[in-house]
Amino acid sequence: MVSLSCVPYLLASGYSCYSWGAGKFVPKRVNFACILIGFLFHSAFLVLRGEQIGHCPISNLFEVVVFLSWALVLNYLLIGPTFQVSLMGAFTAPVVLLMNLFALLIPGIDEPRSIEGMGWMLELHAALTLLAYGTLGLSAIAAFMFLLVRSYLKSHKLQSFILRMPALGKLEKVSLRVCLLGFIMYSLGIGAGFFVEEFWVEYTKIVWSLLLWVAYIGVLAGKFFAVLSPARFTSLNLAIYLFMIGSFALINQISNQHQF
Amino acid sequence: MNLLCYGTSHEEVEVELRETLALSGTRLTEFSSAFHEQLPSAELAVLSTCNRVELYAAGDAEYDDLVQALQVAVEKVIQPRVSWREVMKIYEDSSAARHLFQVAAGMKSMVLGETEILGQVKQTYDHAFKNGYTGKYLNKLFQTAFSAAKEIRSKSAITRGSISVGSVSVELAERIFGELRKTKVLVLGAGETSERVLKSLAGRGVKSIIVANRTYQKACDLAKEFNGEAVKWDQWEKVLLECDIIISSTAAPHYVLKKEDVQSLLSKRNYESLFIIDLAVPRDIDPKLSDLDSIFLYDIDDIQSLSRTHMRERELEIEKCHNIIKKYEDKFMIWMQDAVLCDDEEFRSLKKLKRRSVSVIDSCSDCLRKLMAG
Repeated sequence: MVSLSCVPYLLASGYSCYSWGAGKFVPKRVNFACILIGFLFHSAFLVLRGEQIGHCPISNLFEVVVFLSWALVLNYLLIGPTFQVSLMGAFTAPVVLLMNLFALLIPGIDEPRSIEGMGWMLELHAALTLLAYGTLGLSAIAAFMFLLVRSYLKSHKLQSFILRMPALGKLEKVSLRVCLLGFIMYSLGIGAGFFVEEFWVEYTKIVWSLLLWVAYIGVLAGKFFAVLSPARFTSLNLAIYLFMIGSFALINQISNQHQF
Repeated sequence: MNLLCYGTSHEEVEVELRETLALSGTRLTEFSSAFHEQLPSAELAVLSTCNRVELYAAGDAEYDDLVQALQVAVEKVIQPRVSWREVMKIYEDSSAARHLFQVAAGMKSMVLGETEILGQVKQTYDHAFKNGYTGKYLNKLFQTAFSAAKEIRSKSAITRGSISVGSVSVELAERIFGELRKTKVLVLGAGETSERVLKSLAGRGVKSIIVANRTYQKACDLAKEFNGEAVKWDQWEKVLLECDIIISSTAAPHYVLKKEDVQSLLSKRNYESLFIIDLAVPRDIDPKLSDLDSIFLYDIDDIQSLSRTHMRERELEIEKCHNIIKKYEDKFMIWMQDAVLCDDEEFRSLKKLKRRSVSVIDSCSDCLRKLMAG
């Protein structure tokens, strides 16, 4: 199912690249439809896996990465049309595709692991946190788009693909609002973790999560109190997310008792 | 049936002659009457814009008769004082169709790919249609021209990318702010160039316009034209804080706005983007301003360079447009040949005979089938 979902994501990514390369208009509807089809396969996998193991499919690195990319797509499908930035699909599809390929191609990360008596609070904690990663990921994509458009405008280049991108002001707004939403979800996810009995067994991941939480609160406060310019806010937003994704697997590896 | 386009454009003649030949209002009605006096059943449409005067005619008359009727009407109504016949071009049948399709798509415009011409061609057709000057052939010709222009617009990039200083500025502003309805514009120097850019921005419905000029009266005049507000020259720095776009074109020999002036304002402006268009030579704005976050500074060279880039991009699309035009031209010519045949008395009789023969054969074969079946 995950492999099947990669096909429409690949189509969306490939078609976007081709359209941009050929100087054509990026077809938002085609992209959106491809991503929606990919999302259906993606969801089907998570439902089947959930039924198989008897709880939310977040018990090994493979499942977590797939769940995380699913959360990113879910956020795109909800937020893209809401903010009229469906063009973000052209950037979301390749990220999701890479994440799924990572999950599929890295050997030995999909070892079935049923967590006995997981409990709804632990499930809520993990699911909310992963959904928040997806939301923050979408904010990071908007931030990347902002920085890309800004760099072209600053260097006085107005390539045809820049003309098809959302306006700078809109991208900044989307990045900020989605980041705020992701941060709230992340806070709730971490908050739910305090009520899980096994939560305190391993501190590495707690420290890592709280550090990220502090980083996000700092960036958001900097933006709200006009200390950070839009360019700095988006750069930091993107940097924090890249650090989060980059260190995720390593942190989980280190935190034996607090995995996924 | 003969189809003809007889006219001239900016490619052939200067504006002095074009304006002499221009046909609009009562002159257009008089021209049509004069033409139809000679050829009552012929179809006619007159495209008269600032860049071209083209007369489209279709009828059973010979080409020479059509041209002569048009020439007589021109002489009678316009009475040009200058020699004009030698500058007129004639396009016949497929080349006339091709020419109109290219005109409607903006391929023959002074600014390649401009879209205003399509509206003018539509107006031409509407006027001719409402007055009963067009018939089967010109109706089809113009409708095909609209379809071709539509396809060219959607499938090629010939209309994309702005060309004029005003439209490039609007495009840049829209890339930065999105909709311009909430933006405030400050104009430094009430010159002609800034007025043109301001006109383009005002056309996008900017929220407010403030004009500052060394001669206060000039600032008042320009502000009045755009429902804006004029401020005295020594006060413009006070309004800088709340502006989103600055258009500067003063005659000052030094920088009017320096990096230090703006740097301290950035945090007070909550780092909101500031788009500065420096149209002055020598420049009004310190180029170092570009280093600042949230400042997007473009001088006249930058804007003209973008305009040239867009023009080159449009030129690269010409071949694609020709292919689309060819498709519509072929389609129209096939339709025209069929329509001419259908109008032909002999052809209609032959067609009727064919239909009757087919029905006789059908009934005979039915009878035979019944007989065979017993």
